Amino acid sequence: MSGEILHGRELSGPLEESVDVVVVGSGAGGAVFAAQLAEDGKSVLVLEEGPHYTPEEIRAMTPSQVLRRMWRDAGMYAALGVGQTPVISLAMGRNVGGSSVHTGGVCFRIPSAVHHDWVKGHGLPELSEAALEAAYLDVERRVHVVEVQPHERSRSTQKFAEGAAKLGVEFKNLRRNTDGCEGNSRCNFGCPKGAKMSVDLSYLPGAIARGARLVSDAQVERVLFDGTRAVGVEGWLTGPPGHYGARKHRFKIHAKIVVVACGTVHTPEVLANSGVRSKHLGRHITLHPAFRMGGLFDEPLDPWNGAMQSAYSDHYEHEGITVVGMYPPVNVLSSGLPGVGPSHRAIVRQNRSIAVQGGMVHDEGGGVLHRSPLGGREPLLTYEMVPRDLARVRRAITLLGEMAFAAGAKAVIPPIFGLDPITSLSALRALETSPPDARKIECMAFHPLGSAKMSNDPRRGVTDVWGAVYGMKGLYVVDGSVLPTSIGVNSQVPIMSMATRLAWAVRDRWARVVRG
Amino acid sequence: MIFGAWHQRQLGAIVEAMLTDHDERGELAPPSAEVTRLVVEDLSDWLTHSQTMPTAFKALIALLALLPLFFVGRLASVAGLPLDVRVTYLERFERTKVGPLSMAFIAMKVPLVISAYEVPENLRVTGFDRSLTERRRLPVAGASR
Repeated sequence: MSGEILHGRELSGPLEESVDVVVVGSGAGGAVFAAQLAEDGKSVLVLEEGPHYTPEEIRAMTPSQVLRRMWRDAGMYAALGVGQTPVISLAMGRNVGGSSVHTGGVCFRIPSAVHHDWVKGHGLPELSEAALEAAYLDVERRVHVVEVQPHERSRSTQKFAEGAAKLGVEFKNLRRNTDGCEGNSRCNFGCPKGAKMSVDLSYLPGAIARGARLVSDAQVERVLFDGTRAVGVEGWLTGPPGHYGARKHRFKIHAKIVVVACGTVHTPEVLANSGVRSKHLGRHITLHPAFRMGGLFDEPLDPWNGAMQSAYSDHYEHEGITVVGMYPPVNVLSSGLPGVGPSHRAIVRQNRSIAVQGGMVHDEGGGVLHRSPLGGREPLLTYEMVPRDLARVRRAITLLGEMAFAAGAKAVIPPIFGLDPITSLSALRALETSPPDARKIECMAFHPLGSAKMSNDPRRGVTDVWGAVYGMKGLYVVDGSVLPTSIGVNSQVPIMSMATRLAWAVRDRWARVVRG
Repeated sequence: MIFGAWHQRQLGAIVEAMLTDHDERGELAPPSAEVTRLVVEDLSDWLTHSQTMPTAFKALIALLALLPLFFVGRLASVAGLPLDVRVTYLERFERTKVGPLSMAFIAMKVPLVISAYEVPENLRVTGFDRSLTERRRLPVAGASR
């Protein structure tokens, strides 16, 4: 039996259905869970708040069209810094496939040291590396994880790799979920080739072939309960005008189990609206604050030709810093270049000769969600960077700048608002010893995690180690919000693997799960 | 258009300054009125897709519109400044050591520049060799260079 994708905005009346499993959210967690249960023969309905776009539609969009139509809050969502903390622009998808559609495709497993910490430091032996091995393998096969070959590197990445090598730092090939990448270097804004195997292309088609149904433009308000047992969800189908749309028709879905997979920033709101109470809900959020460094070279590099992300270095892992190659679309990069009018034009003109490299910090978790004072669907996220993490950001800026100079850059362009390109190592290092206001650092994040974290103790977490919400029956959380700590690497494979593990557990205990 | 006439005028003045270049004689050369209009309209469209930013963006415009006195000593809104003073004003605003003000400027600059450089005549300035939705022209194996 084949399922289907329904566009909620095109439905002409209320929707009411009964299924075995209702999954709220179609991203890296929800799509994977839905596919696993559909393959086991369960009737599955996936509800996605955002719209559905086909790969062909996405390919035809410019970067700003992708931002306004497919990213949360039209690409303008940010964590508000508390104290000496930058505003951190947060990239999150709001579409069928969720943020997996907007990653650079980078695939890491959770580092061994993090697994070890979860087992030994947090008392979670169920989250050992060995316990997730089968899930990792399953995910990596389905999303087609392959190693990026050196010839796929852009000259931008090559330059930084050359500089790093001179400093004794090795760049390694990244692994990504791609099939036929031709190096258009705009993965975050929709692959023009359709080569990135995001969950809308890797998991959801299989789920639908097995009978799962997906409704887009379906905004879940709350989980429905019979006593403490979750029995379904209700909400609104939305429609034009605008990205968020107006409420058109009610829907109510009855289900034997409810899976919430709205992502770290939105899962807590659905749970809180449904009466879930925990002092940990919406707190302890880690972001992996990230930033870019530009290097200005004498020769043209045409840095936009090559894989957007192709190489990384874990050389500084002991300092909590990961160096990850990246190159954004040229208009997005230009928006972060310093200057106004002629001074901005002058540097924009040199884009062909600007190499870019990214850095990311393994952070401690200072994010807290609040209801938005402006109302609407987007909660307010505040984030306080601990001094250690701020020092790491500054350190990483210096390290990346040193690589650029070692590669022969005539200047570096640090991620600091309004700062002219720096032409000497001493001036670069001064940024670390006499740093500018932290709120002038251009910072972004792609991996919010931990707002409904797992624990083996209801006093220390929101869910148990199988994603079941404490105090409720038949209610599961399956997304990045359940990860107990920051992981220090890109989160899509970890989230997919965790979702696989949780889906297998539900599948294997189905009779108990629905009876319990 | 989500902006009223006052906000439109101030935003247009900011866009014009942001995209001003030097001509071959070294004089300031503003973008065409058409480009400025396109960018203002596109930003308006972009903001209609956001739940939180329309209000915040109008506040940012007002902030940038009303502070020339503190940066260039002129008692005028940004739209009332001559082009050269406007460019100087916005440059000083971006470089301010006051973190929150610098952030406010960037919150305006980022979408403005992203939008502006999707206009083909601006995109050409970057040296990018294709449209932003076009696939890369891959080298053909064996072709002479």
